[in-house]
Amino acid sequence: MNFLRKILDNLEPLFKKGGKFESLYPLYEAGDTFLYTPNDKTKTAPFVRDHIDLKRTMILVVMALMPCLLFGIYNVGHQYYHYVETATNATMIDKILIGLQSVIPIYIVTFAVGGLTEVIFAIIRKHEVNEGFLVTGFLIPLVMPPSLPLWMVAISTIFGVVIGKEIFGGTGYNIFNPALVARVFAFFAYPTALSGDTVWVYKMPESDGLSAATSLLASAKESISNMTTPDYGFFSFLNGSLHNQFVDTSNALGMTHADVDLSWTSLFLGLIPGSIGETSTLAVLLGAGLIVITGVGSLKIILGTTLGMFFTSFLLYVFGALIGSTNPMMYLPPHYHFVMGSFAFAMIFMATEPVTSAHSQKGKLYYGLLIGFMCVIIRAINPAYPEGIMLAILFANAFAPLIDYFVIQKNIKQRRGRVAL
Amino acid sequence: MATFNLSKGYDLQLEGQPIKEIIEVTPSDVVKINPQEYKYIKPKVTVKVEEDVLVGTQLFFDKNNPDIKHVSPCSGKIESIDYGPKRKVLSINIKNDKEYNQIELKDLDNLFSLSSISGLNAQATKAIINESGMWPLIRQRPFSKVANIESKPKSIFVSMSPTDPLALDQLFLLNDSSVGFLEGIDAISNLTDGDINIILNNNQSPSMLDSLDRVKIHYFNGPHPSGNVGIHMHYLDPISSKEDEVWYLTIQDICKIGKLFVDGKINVTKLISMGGPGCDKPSYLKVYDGTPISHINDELELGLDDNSVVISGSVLSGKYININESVGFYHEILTILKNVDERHFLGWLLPGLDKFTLTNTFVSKLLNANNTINHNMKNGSNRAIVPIGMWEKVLPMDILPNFLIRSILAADIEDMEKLGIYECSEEDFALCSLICQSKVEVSQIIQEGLDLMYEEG
Repeated sequence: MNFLRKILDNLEPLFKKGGKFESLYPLYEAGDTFLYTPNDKTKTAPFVRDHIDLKRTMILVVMALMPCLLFGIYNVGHQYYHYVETATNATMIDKILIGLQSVIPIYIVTFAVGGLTEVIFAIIRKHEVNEGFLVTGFLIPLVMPPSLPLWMVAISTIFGVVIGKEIFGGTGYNIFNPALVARVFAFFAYPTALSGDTVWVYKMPESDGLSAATSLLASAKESISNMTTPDYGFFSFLNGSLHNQFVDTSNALGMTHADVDLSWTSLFLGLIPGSIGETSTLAVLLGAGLIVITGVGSLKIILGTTLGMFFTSFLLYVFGALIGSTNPMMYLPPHYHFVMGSFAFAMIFMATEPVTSAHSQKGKLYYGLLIGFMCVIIRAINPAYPEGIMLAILFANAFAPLIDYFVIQKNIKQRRGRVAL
Repeated sequence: MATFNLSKGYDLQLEGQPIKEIIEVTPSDVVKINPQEYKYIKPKVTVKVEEDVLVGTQLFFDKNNPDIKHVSPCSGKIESIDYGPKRKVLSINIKNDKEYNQIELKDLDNLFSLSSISGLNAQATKAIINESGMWPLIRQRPFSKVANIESKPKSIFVSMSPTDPLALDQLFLLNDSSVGFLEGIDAISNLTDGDINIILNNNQSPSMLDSLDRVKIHYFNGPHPSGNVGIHMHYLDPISSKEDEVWYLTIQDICKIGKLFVDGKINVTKLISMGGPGCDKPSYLKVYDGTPISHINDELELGLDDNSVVISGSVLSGKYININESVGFYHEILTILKNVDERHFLGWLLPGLDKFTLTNTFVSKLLNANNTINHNMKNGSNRAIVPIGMWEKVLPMDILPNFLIRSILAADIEDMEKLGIYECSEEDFALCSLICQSKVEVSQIIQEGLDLMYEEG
């Protein structure tokens, strides 16, 4: 690899101050440190430093996303052969090929458009090209449906990078998670492609009358029938039968096309239609292991979010039973919340984003609780936006500084009290 | 007495641990004194080139604290004075006659007529210590500067269990020569109405301390920085304002002061621990104050040159020196690192089987393969703060480092005060810089914050 090093060393003077391409130095620096660890020396104490750098932490998140991506590629093909070309006996290879055919263009568009945006900002602002986009770029396609037109992916990516990050100063300064901003932009700007009853299956013909609602939407269909008094017992809430009673009634009325297997196992494994990378809770948990063990993602946030979700779903069950609500989402047990929709994916990979979450260690727990709470509330109370976690995280992003404020005040008070003793 | 078991932090293991045998280094021909190593000093030199000096002759004083004497550690002739930009005094070079003749200390005659050191009042004790030029040995927090001779500290701290890499074994030091230790404790006891806190760890049980009734013994266990006085103060006697002064000094300093009270002699030697991965002969050295590294290098044939990475003090909190400079006035460690210039292909992507890290981000941690480092590479590029909670993992203080650092960067004095800047010292935050994935100079920023508070707070 020495020849590569030599080429880079020979190129360096061109990009240094006074060189021909001085203004493009960020580009050179990015390539140089991408290929080789930088050779800067410490100038002040401490004189030895850990080998961890931002590139390393970012690549670990990307590695953690790999199970989701690989599963997602397979699942896109799987859904295609389930809904579009139903007749064939497709093998695994066929499914993966279809998946690649769908996912690769989305990735190419995301990285080309997002990377270019990043580089333009780096050159204008004269700062180094940040690794941050590496993760954002991997995340964006995973939260988009495979059926989304590429131009929408491109515009969402630009919006996410510019509005979500660059206008605040780039990685480290943003207040909202750029990947989520991109997702929310797509959701609100192109509602016909991302909400309603549209089927999220690659190459799904629009007019054939077949529709397969995503798991959340199917669960959220409100029952309007005068059903017989359901069993509001705590046990039937926990095992999901209370929820099913309402869903079944609405199904009987022909309100949803429950062509999707909505059993807990099926949701956990994720062989259901949905966005590319978020359907499989199993794949998400594999990645979660990596980011928690390496310390890149905060376990406090993950625990907080899960706890908040548990607590709120119990709360809604009690509340719903008391007022006799017919909204099935009120009775969705916590373990279903966990596997349904993007809850697990967003909690592990988006809620834990360190820059936009609460910065204090104690605050991270409260931040997580808030996400879990808001997610279930949005899912249940406003079924028009079934994917509550996305909005819940953005909401918590906005409140993170406030959470930190209270943690800081408590710390100040505590230390002042200690000195007074 | 109290025992604290701290869990946050890290014990950095460097190669080249010194063997506990003392090599005595002969006096050097030239002695170098650098006034800039005293924080916030504005030195005014009181000697001229060619002037004769004795051990204890005043060389310069601080314009802000003109009463405190800074003296010569040897006898001889002033050879030259090096100035930098704006006439900043960089170095006073003394041609050493190696006689070590000492000035007459006028207050000592009165002292010896007294029955005991503890019979002295604070004023007299200060006068004697200052007359000998040893006052700068006593430092204060906040600011880690020379103690204010006018004030009375609320307590005094002595760490007997420093946890810095390559730190001197303080018990070995006392066993080697405890001359003056008890007298030194008596002397500094006169300086405060508060406690004299001596910090040990659970493995230490020096019988010598049993007889001291003014002294309070505390135990701090756990990884570095559990041996730093800043951490001890944080738990035992926290500092809340600029005027809230706590003083500290080392065992060697106490012995020096004590020896003065025993026989009126100014001790101009000290024990230092020399080691590190770039050092061929790691051992304890007894050196005269102001001895240039080049002299030690020649005498011990260390093979150092201008490219050597020489650090006066600990690798975590010291400073780079070139081999013509001497070991710092406050430093007891001489660390030598390897000068390495290597760039790893795709280092951020590969598993990293031999990478030094405190985090779980490389496979080496899993294999327990590499817990030492031998060079001064930064191992990454500077980035914006991305708070993944690494700083908090190595800081055993009830301080929110992330917010403190941000308030310092924003120069928000009020917030810095509230977040506890006065309790901080850059050395306590060294591990935060070491572990930071954005390569934020946490210690440096803490120091800048303290400088700002010193000037404006």
